Amino acid sequence: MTPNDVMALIKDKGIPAIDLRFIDLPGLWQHFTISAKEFEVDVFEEGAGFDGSSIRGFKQIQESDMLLFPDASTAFEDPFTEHPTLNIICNVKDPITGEAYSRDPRYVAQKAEAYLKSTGIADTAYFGPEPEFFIFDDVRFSQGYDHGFYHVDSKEGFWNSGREEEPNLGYKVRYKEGYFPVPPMDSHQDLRTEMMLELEKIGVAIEVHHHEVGTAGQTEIDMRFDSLVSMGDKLLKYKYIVKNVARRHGKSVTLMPKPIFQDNGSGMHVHQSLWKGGTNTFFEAGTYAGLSKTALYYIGGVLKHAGALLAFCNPTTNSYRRLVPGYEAPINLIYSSRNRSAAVRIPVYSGSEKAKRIETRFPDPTCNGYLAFSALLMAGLDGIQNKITPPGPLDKDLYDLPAEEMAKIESTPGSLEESLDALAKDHDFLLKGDVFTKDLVDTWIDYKRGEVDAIRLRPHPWEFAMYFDI
Amino acid sequence: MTSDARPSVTARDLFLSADLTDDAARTYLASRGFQDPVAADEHLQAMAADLPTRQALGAVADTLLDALCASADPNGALVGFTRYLATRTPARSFLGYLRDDPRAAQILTHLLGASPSLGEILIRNPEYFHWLQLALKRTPPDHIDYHAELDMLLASGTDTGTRLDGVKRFRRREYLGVAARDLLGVTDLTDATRQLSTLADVVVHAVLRLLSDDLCATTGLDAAPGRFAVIGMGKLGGMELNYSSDIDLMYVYDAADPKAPADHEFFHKLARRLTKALGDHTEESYLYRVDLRLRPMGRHGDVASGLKQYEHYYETMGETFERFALIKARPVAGDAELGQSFLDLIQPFVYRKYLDHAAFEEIARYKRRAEQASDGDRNVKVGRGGIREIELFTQVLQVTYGAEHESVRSPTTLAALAALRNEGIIETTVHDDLDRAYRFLRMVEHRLQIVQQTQTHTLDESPDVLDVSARRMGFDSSAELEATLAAHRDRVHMVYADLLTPTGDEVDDGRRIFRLLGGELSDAEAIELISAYGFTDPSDILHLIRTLDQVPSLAQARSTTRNLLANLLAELLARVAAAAEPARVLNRLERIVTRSGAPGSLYRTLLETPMLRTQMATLLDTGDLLADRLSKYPELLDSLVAAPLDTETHRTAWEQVLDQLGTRDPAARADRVRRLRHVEEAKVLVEWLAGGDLATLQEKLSALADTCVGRIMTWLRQETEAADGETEWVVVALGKLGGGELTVHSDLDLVFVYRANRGRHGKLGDGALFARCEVLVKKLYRFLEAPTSEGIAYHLDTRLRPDGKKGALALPFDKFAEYLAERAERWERLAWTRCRVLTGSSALTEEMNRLVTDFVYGDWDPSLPAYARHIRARMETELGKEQRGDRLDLKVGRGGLADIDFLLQLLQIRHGADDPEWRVAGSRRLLAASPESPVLDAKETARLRDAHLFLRTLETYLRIESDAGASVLSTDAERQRVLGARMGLRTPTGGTLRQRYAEITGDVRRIFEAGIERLEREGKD
Repeated sequence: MTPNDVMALIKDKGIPAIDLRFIDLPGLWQHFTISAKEFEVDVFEEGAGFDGSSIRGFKQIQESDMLLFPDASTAFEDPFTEHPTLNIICNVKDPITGEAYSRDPRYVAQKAEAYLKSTGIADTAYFGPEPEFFIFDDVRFSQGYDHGFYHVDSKEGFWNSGREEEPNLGYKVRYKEGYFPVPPMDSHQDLRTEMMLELEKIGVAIEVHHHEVGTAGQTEIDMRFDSLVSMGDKLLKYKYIVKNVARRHGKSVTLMPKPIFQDNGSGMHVHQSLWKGGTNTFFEAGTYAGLSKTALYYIGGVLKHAGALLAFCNPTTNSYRRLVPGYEAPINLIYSSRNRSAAVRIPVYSGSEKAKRIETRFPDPTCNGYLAFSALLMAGLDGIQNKITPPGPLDKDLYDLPAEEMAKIESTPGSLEESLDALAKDHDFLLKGDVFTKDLVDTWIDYKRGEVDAIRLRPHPWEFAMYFDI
Repeated sequence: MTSDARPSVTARDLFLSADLTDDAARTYLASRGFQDPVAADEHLQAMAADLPTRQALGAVADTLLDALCASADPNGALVGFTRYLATRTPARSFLGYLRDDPRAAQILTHLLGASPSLGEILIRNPEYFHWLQLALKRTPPDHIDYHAELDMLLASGTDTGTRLDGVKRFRRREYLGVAARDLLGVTDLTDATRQLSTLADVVVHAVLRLLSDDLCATTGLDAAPGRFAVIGMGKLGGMELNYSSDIDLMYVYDAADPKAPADHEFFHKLARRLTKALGDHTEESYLYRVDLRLRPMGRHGDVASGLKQYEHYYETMGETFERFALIKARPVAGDAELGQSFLDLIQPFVYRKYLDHAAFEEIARYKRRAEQASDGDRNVKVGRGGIREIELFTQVLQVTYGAEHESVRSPTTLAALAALRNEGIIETTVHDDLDRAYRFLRMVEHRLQIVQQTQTHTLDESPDVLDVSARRMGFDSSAELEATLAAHRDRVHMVYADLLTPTGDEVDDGRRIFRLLGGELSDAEAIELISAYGFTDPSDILHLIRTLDQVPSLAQARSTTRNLLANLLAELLARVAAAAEPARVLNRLERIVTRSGAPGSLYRTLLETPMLRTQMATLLDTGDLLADRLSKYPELLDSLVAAPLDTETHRTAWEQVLDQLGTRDPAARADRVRRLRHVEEAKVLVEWLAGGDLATLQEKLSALADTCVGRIMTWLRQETEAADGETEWVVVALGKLGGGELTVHSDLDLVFVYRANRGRHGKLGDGALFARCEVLVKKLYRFLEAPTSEGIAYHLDTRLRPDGKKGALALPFDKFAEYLAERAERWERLAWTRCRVLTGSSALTEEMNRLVTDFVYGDWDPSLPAYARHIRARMETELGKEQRGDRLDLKVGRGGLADIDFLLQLLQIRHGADDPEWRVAGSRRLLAASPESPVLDAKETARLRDAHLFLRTLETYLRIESDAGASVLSTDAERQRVLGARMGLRTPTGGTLRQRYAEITGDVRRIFEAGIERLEREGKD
C-alpha cells in the first residue's frame, strides 16, 4: 500500500480513526489515534509529532519532541475496535534534523537489512519465529511490604482435576502432555482458529496452529516466514491479535516464558535463511542435513555470540526460568538436526532447498523482534565473514550424556545478568555497518540491569519455604 | 624448529602431495605462524574445489603462504583470501596471475590481514583489486581529482537514488585506496587522515549539489534562494578524519530574502535531506555517520541557521566547550565565501583578549571527569595520556594565546602544536614529545578502527587478540606495543597534568576568583583570598562579589560573563581595597552592572581600557552621584577616559545638541534637556576629578546652565509670542550662577525683565502683555523643574527678584527700574553685585547693566557694614545651626562662604564706585583679580582665596557623595575621614580635614571681623 492507497482506503471505507503505532525499546507497541479529518497525506512526508520523553528507553525529558513517520505498507484495519480504525506502523525520527532515531528498534532492523545487502552475501534474510504462549482464565499477582504472590488459573489446568465444577467433566491436560491430543482434551481449538483467521485477515500468513506441551492452554501458532523488518512488524501484529482475540472470549494471553512452575515454558524458535538472487544460500545438496558452508558459518557466528544474543533474544529475568536443563530447553551451544536441547537445530523434515533453514531455539517471545532478529543476523554474518566453524553436530540425546562429556559443551548464560555481561563484552559484531549503535547497546544494558535489580530487591515466596525456619 | 622433523614438507605439498598426513600439514602450518592450523588447513583445502584449481594452488602455494604469513593475521587473511578467491572465476586464472605477480599477492594478503573490512570491500567489488594496483602506482588523488571523477559520475546517473549509490561506491573505492596506501606504508598518518578528510569534503560537496539541484527542480526554482555552506567540525574540521569517524557538521545559510519563510524552509529542507542522504543505509551501505549535535543548542537547535543566528547565539549563549569545538571549524562544502564569513564571525567568540579562566576550568573539569572513568587505560582516545589529552592541551593553549597569535589558530592538532612551538609558547621538547605521541596514538587508533570500521578506541584485553593488533601496528608482540604505548602516555599525561596543576603562588588571581565565583572555594578560602587584597571587611566584600556574579545577563552566557568578571576583579580589587569605602564602591558597581543589563559588555569595556578601570574605581569612591549617572547613562563610560574639553568647545557642542531639539515635541525636548544636563554635568565632574581645577568646573557648569536656559527661553518665546520681537527680554543671573560659581546641585538664581517693543506693541494692553510674560516664565519654570522620567533639569530660585516671593515673576523694565530706585532694600545691593545678564536683547542688556551698576555702585552707605554683620550673625545662628554640634555649615556657618562673600561684596560696593576693577560678579573671580584695597592686605586676600577654594571644593565633594544640594559637613569622624581621603587628606582619624576646616574658617572669620571693623572705622574717621 502507498500513502495514496491509504488515503483512498480511508475515504472509500469512511474510516474515522487512524491509529499510529511504534515500538518502544523493550518491545511493546505504543499508539495514539488521529482523526481522519486531520489525517492528510502530508503526514507520510512530514511526520506527526509526539512527546517521546516517557517512552521506555527513549529520550530524556528535556529532549522529548519526536516525530512519527507512518509506513503506508504496514496499514491494516483493526479487527477489535468498535469504530473502524486503520492501524499504521511508524518509524521514529528527530523533529529538527529529520534523522532517523538511533534507538528506534524498527530502524535498527532496517539498517540490518541494508547491511546484509551491502555485504553482497545475500539480499534477503527470512525469519520465521514460532511464538508460544499460554491462555489463562484468571491471573492475579501482587507484591507489597507484607506479601508477594501470583496466581494463574485455567479450566484446562491439571491442578483443577479435583475441583468441584458442578460438574467437572475431566479432560484436564496432564502436565507436559498437551502436545497434542484432540478435543475435548484440547479445549482451545476454535479459539486458535479464530486467532489464525484474524491474523490472516490482516495479512499475516499462518502455517499451522496446535496445542503445546504445557497444560493450562499452552499454544503455538506458526507464521509463514518473511523478511526481517516485515517479520518484526508481523510479530507485533501477532501479539496484538492473539491477546485481543483471547480478551474477546474473556481469556488472557501471556507470552512470558515461564508462568507455570514445573511445566514447559514458552519459547520462540526462530527459523532463518539467507537468500541471494532467489536461491537459498543455506542449502547445499548432499551435505550434512543439506546445509551449505554459508549456513554452517552462520550457525558458527550465532553460537559464538550466543551469550550476547541472549541479552536481546531472552531479555527478561523470567526468560532464564525457561532456560534450565530439561523442558526441551535449548541451552547447549551446539547444533544438531534432531536434538532439541541444542541451541541451533536444522529441522530434519525440511529436505528441500526452499525449506532449508536453521532454527535458533533459545529465543523467547519476550524479545523485541526487530532487535533480536537483527542481532541474530549480525551474528550469523560475522560467522560467514570470518568462516567460523561451529562445534561439530551432536546427535546424541544430550540429556543422556555422562556429566564429564556434558561439561565440555558450553551452555547459554544462566541469568539475564550474565547475558548482559556477555553483551557488554561482546558487541563489536553488532556495530558493523552501524546497524546497532554503541548508544543503543549501552542503553539496552542499563535498562535491563534495572529489571535485574527489581527482582534482586524482592523476597521470593520459595525463599520462605527454604529459609524461614533457619 | 628442527629441520629433520619435516624436511620434505613444502607449501606446494599442501595441495599436491599424495601422502601428506593431516597432522603433518597442521604441524607445518603451525610452524609457519597460523594460530589455528586446523582451520587453516581446512580453508586451504576448501579452495581446491577441482583439479585445475588445486594445481593452480600448488603452483602459487609458496608465494601465497609467504604472503599470508607475512600479514598481521595469517588465519584472518586466509579466510579473506578464500572468500575473495570465490569471487574470481575461474579461480585458477586469478591464482596464475598471483603466481606471476607475487607483489600483488602480498598487497592482497597484507590488506586482508590488517583489515577484514577492507576485505569486505574487495569481496563486494573484486575488480577494485586491479584498480587498486594501478592506483598505488599513481600519486594519491587530491581534491581536484576527486571532484573531477565525481562530476563525471554524477553526470551519468539517472536519478538521485542511483547517483547516490554511485557516490557510495566511489567513496568506498577511494577509502580502500587511502587505507591501502596507509597500510602499505606508501603514505604516512597525516597524509591518510588528510586524504580521508578531503574525500569527505568532496563527497559532501557533491551530494549537497546533487540534492540542491534536486530540491530546486521539485520546488520549481531555477537556483537555490541564497547560499548554503557546510562547516566541518571535530576531526573533519581538523583534516584528521579516521577510518571510522563520525563527521561533525553544522549548516549555515544566507537566504536571498531573509523575510521570505519559503527561503528559510528551502535550506532547512536541504539540510535535512543532506543529512539523510549522507547517513541513510541502503544496499550500498552509507556514506558517513553525521553528527549535528555541535550546532547551536545542540539537538534542540535548528538544523541549519543563518549567519546572524550563529552570531547571536555565540554572543549570548555560547558555552566554553563550544569555543573549544569551534577551533576546529572549517568550511568543507557549499559556498566557500559564506563558509569564510562564518569563520570570521566566530573568531572573536573563540579567541578572547582576556585571560581565559573559563577555558582552564573547563579543561580541569574534563580532567576530573576523565580520571573517574574506568576503562581509562585501555582506551587510547579518552584514557590517561591519550589523544584527548593532547587535543585538550593544544586547544586550551590555542584559546588562550589565539587572540594574540593568529598563527596558533589551526584546526589541525599537529599544525597547532607546531605553531605553539614557533611562537615560543611551548618548549621544543614538549612539542616533539607530543607530536610523536600523537602520531603514535592515532596510528594505534587507526589500526584498531580499520579492522571493522567501527568506532573503537580500546585495546582488547585478551592477549591473543592483542597480539594480532600489535602485529597490525608493526610490533612483534603485544608486550612491545604495550611498552611503547605506556611510554608515550606517561609523557603525554605529565605534560597535560603540568598545564593544569598550578604551583604555589603562580595561580593567577583571576582564576582563583573565577573559582570563587563558581562556588568552588570554601567560605574560609574565599575570605582568605579576599583578605589578601587588604580589605578590612572581607565577608561583606565576598557577599558583594557574589552579588555581582549573580547579576543576570540576558545577552551572554554565564561562563562568559563570569570569566570577564573574574578578570576584571583581579585587576580591580586591589584598587577597590585602597578606596575610602571599598564596600560601597562594589555596591555602586553592582548597581551600574545591574542597570546596564549587559554585564559582560561592561566588564569587557572596563578590561579593554586600563585607564577607564582606574577611573571607575576612583569615581565610584566619590559617592552616589556618578554611580547613578553611569548606571543611567552608560554612554558616559566613554567620557571617563576622554580628553578634557575647554569651556567653549563644550558650549558649542551643547548648543548644537539643543538646536537640533528645536522642532521636537515639548515632552521629548524636556527629557532631552534633562538628559543633557545630567550627562554633561557628569562629564564635567569627571574632568575635574581627573585633575581639573575648580574654577574651570564652575565655569563649565555655569556655561551649561546658561546655554540651557538661553535656548529654552528662545523656544518658549517663539511659541508664546504671536509675532517675533513683540517684547525684549533680559534674563539676569544672580547668586552662584551670576558669579560663575555654579557647582553640582546649585539652584539657578534668576530674575526676568521684559520691555514691550516700541512700535510693534500695541495690540495688547499692558495688563495682557504682563499676564503673557508671567505665563512664559511659569512655562520656563515648568520646563526646568517638572520631574519626568529623566528627573528635573534645574531648580530655579527667583526669590532675589524685586519684592522677593511676593513680586512679579516677570517684570517690565520700567517697573524694575522703579523698584531699584525706590523700594530696594540695603542688602539687595550686596546680592546684585553678582548680577550677570544671562541672555537678552543687546539694547535692554545695556540698559539693565547701567541700571544695576548705578544701583550697586552708588553712594557708600556707612551703615552697611554693621547691617551686613547683623544679617550675617542671624544667618549663622538661624540657618547654620552649628551650635547643635553635629554639623558644620560650609555656607552660612562660622567662617563659611557667606563670610567671604559678604565681606567682598561690601568692599565691592565701597570701592566699586570709583574703581571699575571692583565691579566683578562673584567672589571667585574677584579674588582671582584681587584688586588692591586699603581694607584688606594681600596676605588676607590670599588667605581668603585659599579658603574660598577649600570650602567650594569641599562643598562639591559633599554634593557628589550625596547626590544632593547640601553644604553641610557632618562632624562624624568616619564621614570626615572618608571625605578627607577623597580630597587627598588621607589620615586614619580624619583629623586633618577637621583641623584644616577649623583653621581656615577661623582665619576667614577673623578676616571678616577685621574687614567689617575697618570699614566701620573708616566711616567714623
